[in-house]
Amino acid sequence: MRNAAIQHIEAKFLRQDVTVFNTGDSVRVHWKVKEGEKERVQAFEGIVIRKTKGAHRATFTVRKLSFGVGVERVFPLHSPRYEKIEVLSRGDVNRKRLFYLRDLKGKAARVDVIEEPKPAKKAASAS
Amino acid sequence: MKGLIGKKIGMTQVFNDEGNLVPVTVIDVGTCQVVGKRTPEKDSYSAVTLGFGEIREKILNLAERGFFKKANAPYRRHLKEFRVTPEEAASFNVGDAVKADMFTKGELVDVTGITKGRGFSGVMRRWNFKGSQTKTHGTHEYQRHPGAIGQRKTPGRVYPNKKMPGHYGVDQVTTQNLTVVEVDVEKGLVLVKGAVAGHNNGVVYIRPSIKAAMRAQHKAARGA
Repeated sequence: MRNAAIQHIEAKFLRQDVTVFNTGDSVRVHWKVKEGEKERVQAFEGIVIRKTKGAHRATFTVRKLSFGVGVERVFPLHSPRYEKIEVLSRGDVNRKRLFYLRDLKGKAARVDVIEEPKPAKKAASAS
Repeated sequence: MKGLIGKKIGMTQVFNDEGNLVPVTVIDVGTCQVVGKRTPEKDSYSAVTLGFGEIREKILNLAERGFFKKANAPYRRHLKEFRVTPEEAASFNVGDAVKADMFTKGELVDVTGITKGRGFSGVMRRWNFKGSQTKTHGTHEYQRHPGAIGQRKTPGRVYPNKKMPGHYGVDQVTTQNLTVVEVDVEKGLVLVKGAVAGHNNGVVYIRPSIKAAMRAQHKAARGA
């Protein structure tokens, strides 16, 4: 049970436009990068292999292959630093955390794709 | 005068202006009030006494009740004097609420608290000794011991202040140069970056950073 004052503080930092997705989904994160004075948007595209909970501290990990090298990046789900998260495809997976993908290469390292977006509550709040 | 008495509520993380998560300690200063003053004429020094935390009349003894009644101030559980110049003291009246907006975002502060009690602790916890480097080769029941504590016949004694097991914790510790991340006047909250000594619900004192003040002083002296 968290203190009411702490809950009050944390509530202010929750993003209202959080995209709903699950592990196994392919996403594109539009991350804002600051270069000196200028700000530009950089996309990071990959498979979500982990989601952690915890109010505004929730994070998710995106894994991709970059020139044959596996790259994983952890994003805070409620960070003001990303513009939007695009869900490219829904994955059909049997685990909540897909760390087994790290040991696989090529065709084996794929995730089955669900053709139709998941109906009802999940699709409704997805942007 | 700048200073507040507060209650450590706990820690969390917040996004700062750059959008990075920073760890913060939440301090409740909601019931901070001026309950008394020290004047150069009467006490030969100048200070403001702040009170914090509500308390029932029944718990106070007659002397304590008299102190609050005489000053016409509300009952408070914790009292602390903050030294001020006589000119500054004029701007404080007994009974005034002291608000969190005394401190501004980005300011450096020192926070004093009483550390968690750890009881009678061994040298590994208390002094960060390494302990035994091996668990095999005949080492037996000696994993967390301090080892030798001195030399031989010369000097034939153990030096004073030798780090040994003993009582650890319940010390007053001031953490210096913590940045004020956010101030919520309405809820009476001050958020400082980083950790503060003591358990949750412990009483802490917030003061402006003494080192920042000295740096400003040196800078002014150089500029002049």
